[in-house]
Amino acid sequence: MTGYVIRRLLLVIPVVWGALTILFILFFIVPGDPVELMAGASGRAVPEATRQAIEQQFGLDDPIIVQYGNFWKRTLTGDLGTSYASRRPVSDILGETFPNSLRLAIWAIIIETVIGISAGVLAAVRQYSFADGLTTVITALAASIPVFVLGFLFQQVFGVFPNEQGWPEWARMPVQGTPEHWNFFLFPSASDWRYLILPMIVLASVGTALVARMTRTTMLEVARADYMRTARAKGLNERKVVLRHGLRNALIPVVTLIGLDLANLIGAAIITETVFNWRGMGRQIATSIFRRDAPVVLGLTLVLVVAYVLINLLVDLSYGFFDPRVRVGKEKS
Amino acid sequence: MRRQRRSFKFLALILGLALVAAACGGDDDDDGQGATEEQPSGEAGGDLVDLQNFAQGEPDHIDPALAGVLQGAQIGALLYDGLTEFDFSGDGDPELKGQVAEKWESDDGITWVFTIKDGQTFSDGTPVLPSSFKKAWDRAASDELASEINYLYAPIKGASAVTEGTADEIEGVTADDDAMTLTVELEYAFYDWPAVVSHPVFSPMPDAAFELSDPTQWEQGVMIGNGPFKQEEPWEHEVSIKLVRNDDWSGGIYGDGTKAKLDSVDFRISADLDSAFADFEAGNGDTGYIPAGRFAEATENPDWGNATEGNLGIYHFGINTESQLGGDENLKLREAIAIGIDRESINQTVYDGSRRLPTGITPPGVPGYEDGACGDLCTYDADAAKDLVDEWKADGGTLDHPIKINFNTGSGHEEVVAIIQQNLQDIGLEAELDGRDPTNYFAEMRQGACELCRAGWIWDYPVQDNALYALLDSASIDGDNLSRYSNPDVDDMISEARSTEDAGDRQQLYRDAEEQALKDVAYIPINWYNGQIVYPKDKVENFVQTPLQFVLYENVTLAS
Repeated sequence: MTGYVIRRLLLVIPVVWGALTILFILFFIVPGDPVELMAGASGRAVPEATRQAIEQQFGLDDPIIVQYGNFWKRTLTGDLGTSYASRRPVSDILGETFPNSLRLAIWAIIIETVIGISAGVLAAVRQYSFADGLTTVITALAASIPVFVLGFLFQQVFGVFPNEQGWPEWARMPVQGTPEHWNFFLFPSASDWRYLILPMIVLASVGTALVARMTRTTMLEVARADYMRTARAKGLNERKVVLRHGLRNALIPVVTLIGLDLANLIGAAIITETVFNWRGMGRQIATSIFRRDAPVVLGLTLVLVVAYVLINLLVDLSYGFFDPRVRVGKEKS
Repeated sequence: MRRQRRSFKFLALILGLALVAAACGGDDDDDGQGATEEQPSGEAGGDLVDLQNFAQGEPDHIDPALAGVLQGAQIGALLYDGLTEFDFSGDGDPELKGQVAEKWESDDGITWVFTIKDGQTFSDGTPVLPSSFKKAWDRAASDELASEINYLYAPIKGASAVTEGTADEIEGVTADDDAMTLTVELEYAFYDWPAVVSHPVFSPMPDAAFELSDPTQWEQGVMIGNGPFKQEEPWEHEVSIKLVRNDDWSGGIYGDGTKAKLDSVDFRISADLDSAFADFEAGNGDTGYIPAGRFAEATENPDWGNATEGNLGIYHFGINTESQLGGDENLKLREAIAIGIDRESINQTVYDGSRRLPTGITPPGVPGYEDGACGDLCTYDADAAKDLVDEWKADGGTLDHPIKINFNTGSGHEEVVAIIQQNLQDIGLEAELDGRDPTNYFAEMRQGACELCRAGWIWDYPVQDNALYALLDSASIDGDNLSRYSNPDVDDMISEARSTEDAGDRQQLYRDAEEQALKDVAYIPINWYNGQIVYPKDKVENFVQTPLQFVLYENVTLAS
């Protein structure tokens, strides 16, 4: 088990190296000169001396191979560099954005897990019932409405409309912003909760639908398994049959889906973060790509890649909990 | 059953933690982002939540020496007062007044002596002296700061050496703190110089700004200034910039000008214009920036006041005079293009009628403006355009390839160029769209890729020279003169204008230069910009945006 975990952790190294190297090269291939952007965000012509000064400050006048070497030297000593655009340390930007993205992703995953699995189980247990039909319709709707449409719709329905109707402030949802104060990392304080509700629902919408659909499908497959018939024959009540024998066996693909989604949501919730002005990594990376701000993109991607690998490892390890047959290391004993 | 009970316990634990967490947080209505409670304010006081200035994202910089885009410069303008400032409150041309400068004089237009008012202080209590300007200017022009707007220092003798890093101080700037004078020697006679120094990049800086090893980090802390507002907390990136009233402000040029009325302004930063406006509509702020397509609806809302007056900005197309469209033999072709573009259709279709149809390059509000610099060349006349194309063809005119309409993609210009392409087709000219990556667009246009290229200009200060030198003078080729327009007569007129002391004569020379360039059809004005701000009429009063697009927050009051 320990050896397996170490081997998997060591995989981080080639994955990070590969991802960042590809990104580094891409920044030199795609059109757009970062110096031009830094030297002239307003679109005005700037003196050549200013361009040269900026190039020297950021080492952009060096050959690509030298820049690549410097990038790794810097990164391996824990220095993620300085943003071309704002001239701020990337570590500061990371510190501001990563926790917020992680929090939002975790809350979205909680919704996906609780609502998605419950709805899927309900639909499977009562196949072809009204509840099953309703779940199918709602999940199809949730999965098909683009996130930005749902986001703007929520803003209008829960923010703008109540204000136009003169509803009291407690009945109006904020349409933009990130909670400022958090307790125990994950819990916004008092009124700051209101800032979390709309983004987390919107971010979870598609994932919840997918989890519900997958849970329903795998539950229906499991329902036909021999051990389910055996469990019933033993005289277990239906709840135990469904939850202990059915759901537990059906969860492996669902957990994989949720795990991958968590990893994705941390860095790719660009639309939700933009619509609700959530200070997160996805929005930051998108903005920085547009600005050709390589240090920010590379620094934040580094963290995302590590997070992705770690979450995948946790997902793999969790299989053993759901199905002891795949528990790592058991084959030797 | 045991497992189920455990699940319930787990859920109960999560809920319990959530409740404890909420209780721990207390009520943060006062400092949370949702703190939009309107405070009764009366004539003075109150906290304004601004959702318009950063409705499209945060700027790279707010340090007045670095801020190249307007939204960032707005913060610099509230934190710092420069030597001079324009008063736009009158009906006629704006009037240049002394802000920190008591007076200024020059015998030859080359050497300028600014006398600084006594008793001016920064918000940390240190005095504003002539040396505060000199050191700030050395910093702003330096290669260490590498500011995108240090080109504004170019007229000063020795400034370029500082920008190139071969000198630490600008040779042409001398400060005498005893005599309270700042002497500026220019490279050439330039009688609009006192107007140029009204730009925020010429703001003074306190000694604390020069103690940093990396001057670019000044804006990351609490910037100390001498303006109507001050910072008490640093810029919270992507969230907000909060300013509070500076009670030690020496006063402005408007009204009694003793101090700002508002207690504070909270500039909220939004990632998306539509979301920012939804936030305004949801009652979470006091100002909103109207998104595309909602101008008419927003300005007709009876509950909202608006700041939608004309400002000093132009949307235009340049015609590269070195391309297949250039030369005397193609003048009729260029004239046909100029009158073949349906500006009104563009304004209504794309901008919801929010802009003004231009009659020249220089807009009203710039001293020296006169209606009709374009002649007939800014008026849509498809039939006349067709005739001109026919005449041009009859004279042997041909195109090597369809006219390339260059534009930067992703910034809302697609609809504009589509209309122009159709307009040109209607008058018998084939055109193709050349959308380019926005990050490199202007660099490519400056290097000669422009054929019929989209561009714009926002005046840094209300002086004809600001746009005309940049757009028309041959010295600006490879720079902002995207048309690569070179006319010795125009160059001479601009040069002569700069050194002409009499304002009327000077302005006439600039007008002549502008008219000549428009006659040569080097530029095709499309529209002049207007303001796009709304605010709740029953709450926000005295909300004024100057033509330079700076809001005078120091004069804004909140209704009781």
